[in-house]
Amino acid sequence: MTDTVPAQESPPEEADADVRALRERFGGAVRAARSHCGQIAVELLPSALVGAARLLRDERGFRLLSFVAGVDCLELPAPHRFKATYSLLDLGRAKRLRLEVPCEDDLDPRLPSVSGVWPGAAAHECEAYDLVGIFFEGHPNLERVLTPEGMEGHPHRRDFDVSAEAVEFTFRPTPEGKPEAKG
Amino acid sequence: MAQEVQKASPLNSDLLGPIRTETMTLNMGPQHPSTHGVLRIVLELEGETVLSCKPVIGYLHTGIEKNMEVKTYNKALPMTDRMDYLAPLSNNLGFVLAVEKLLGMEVPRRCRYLRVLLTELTRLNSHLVWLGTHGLDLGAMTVFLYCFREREQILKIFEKVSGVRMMTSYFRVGGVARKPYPEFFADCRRFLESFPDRVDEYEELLTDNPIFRRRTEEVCPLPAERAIALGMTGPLLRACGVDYDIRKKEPYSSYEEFDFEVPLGKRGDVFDRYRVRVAEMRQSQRICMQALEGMPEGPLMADDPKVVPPPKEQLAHDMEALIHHFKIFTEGYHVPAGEVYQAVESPRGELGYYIISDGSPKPYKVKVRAPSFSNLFALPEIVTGRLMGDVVAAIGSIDIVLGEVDR
Repeated sequence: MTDTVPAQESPPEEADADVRALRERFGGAVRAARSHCGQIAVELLPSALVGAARLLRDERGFRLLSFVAGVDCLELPAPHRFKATYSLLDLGRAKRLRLEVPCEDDLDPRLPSVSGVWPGAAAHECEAYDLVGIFFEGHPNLERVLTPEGMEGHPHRRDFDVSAEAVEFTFRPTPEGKPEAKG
Repeated sequence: MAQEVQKASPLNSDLLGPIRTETMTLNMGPQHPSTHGVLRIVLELEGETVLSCKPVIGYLHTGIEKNMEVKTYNKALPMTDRMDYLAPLSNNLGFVLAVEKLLGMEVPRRCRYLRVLLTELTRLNSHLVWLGTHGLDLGAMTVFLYCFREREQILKIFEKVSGVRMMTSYFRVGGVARKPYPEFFADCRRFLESFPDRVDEYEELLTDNPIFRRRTEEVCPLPAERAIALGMTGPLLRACGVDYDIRKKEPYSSYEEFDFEVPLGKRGDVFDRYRVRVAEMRQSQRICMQALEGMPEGPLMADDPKVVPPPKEQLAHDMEALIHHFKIFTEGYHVPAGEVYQAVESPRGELGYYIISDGSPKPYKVKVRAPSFSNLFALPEIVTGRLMGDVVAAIGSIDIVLGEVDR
């Protein structure tokens, strides 16, 4: 995702202690870090997600997970189609950190669930699964939450067809004396 | 025939059969007066004790976030009111602040103060609806009528200032929709000066009311650790004693210039949530008064002709203004590419807008971090092991708005 908008992003925020701690522990799995509008975002590989989540919660104080968002980067110049964004908050320091984790398989997007680290993540992961179709492995009860039963597809994907639904016509036999309906 | 009746009589102890021990599954809602909208809860009960609870949502899902992707930023704004319809201006504020952050735009101080004043009136409005309905849920009918009496005054002010009672859409990127009407500040002052006495009235009805206290004290407490782990924010988290208010900790829109306290609870039970919200109303009144006293003079709108529409008078004789006006209302304005997350303290907790822009006049992706969504999914943990009657008190104390949960 870092190559999406090269012009506006400032260089990776190496001065930040949390990013440094992540880099020390996970090395190359921390793909990139950037600061934009004063907000720090770290791009992580999926394999390091749960470990990084534990590190951030237990050692860096990010005890509150604000939200998880599934993003379809279809029209953005990103190497992978899907990613999930995790927004963390450290209540003590009033500091926020965003984790961005790309899904490696574009056709079958999967990520490890962080609901074991932050129980509050479970509902947000259900929403991301429902709307964007990212499958969270290890989730206690991954199911659709917002869309109706029997829904097919994931509406927040960029290629989801939002044009009008076909109207179902039920034709009755034409009464006698009236012309046949055309077509 | 007579013999059969005798056999079926429960007095005939030999024929009672084994005692039924299976649990009962009870469906509560989606049309239930105490679910505050269309929330459905599937409860597993043993007698009156709740064994498990599962909130079922989605009945109000309207795809607002998806819809925003095909609208320009200005056209996406009115959709924000429709999410949390009890706190429309807080929603407007979160959205415009996020877009302004992406644009790198600074609005004048007078505009920031006006936004604070109106957002705090919104908090009063929202807390009044909560207090009234929460009282109604617990059998205190009178409070409801009193709260709606004051809410009506706030809605009248909203109507006069923005043209609409509820779906205000008053805050715009770079400023506000129009100048406040001439008596606006006097109207606000008149309402706010009488308001502390009104809060006293509500408290007289509830705080020392033995029935209300029995229904709320020690009911459904939640330790702070769990509340944080579940991602709860706002008055619910503060009722557990966690001092986190975004207005104080990550100030936006000049909140750092205001003097107010953050009320905290101790046990995190339903009564503490009530206490915190009532105290918040008094603090909001203080903030509003300070905003009125210190309302700076000067321009109201940011000086950016590419984003802020020019005044109507200019259009008749200024070609450039006409072009800007046309561009803003047809094509929209281009927002630099990037990602931003802006959180504000809505009456229900952390309301955040996560916006991804690809540089076009329409947002690429908008994700709304709705406080009620996270708070609602803490309900199973709050009510498990409690009595059925406490579920109603717990839902009321969470203060959900389903429009925001389902979006």
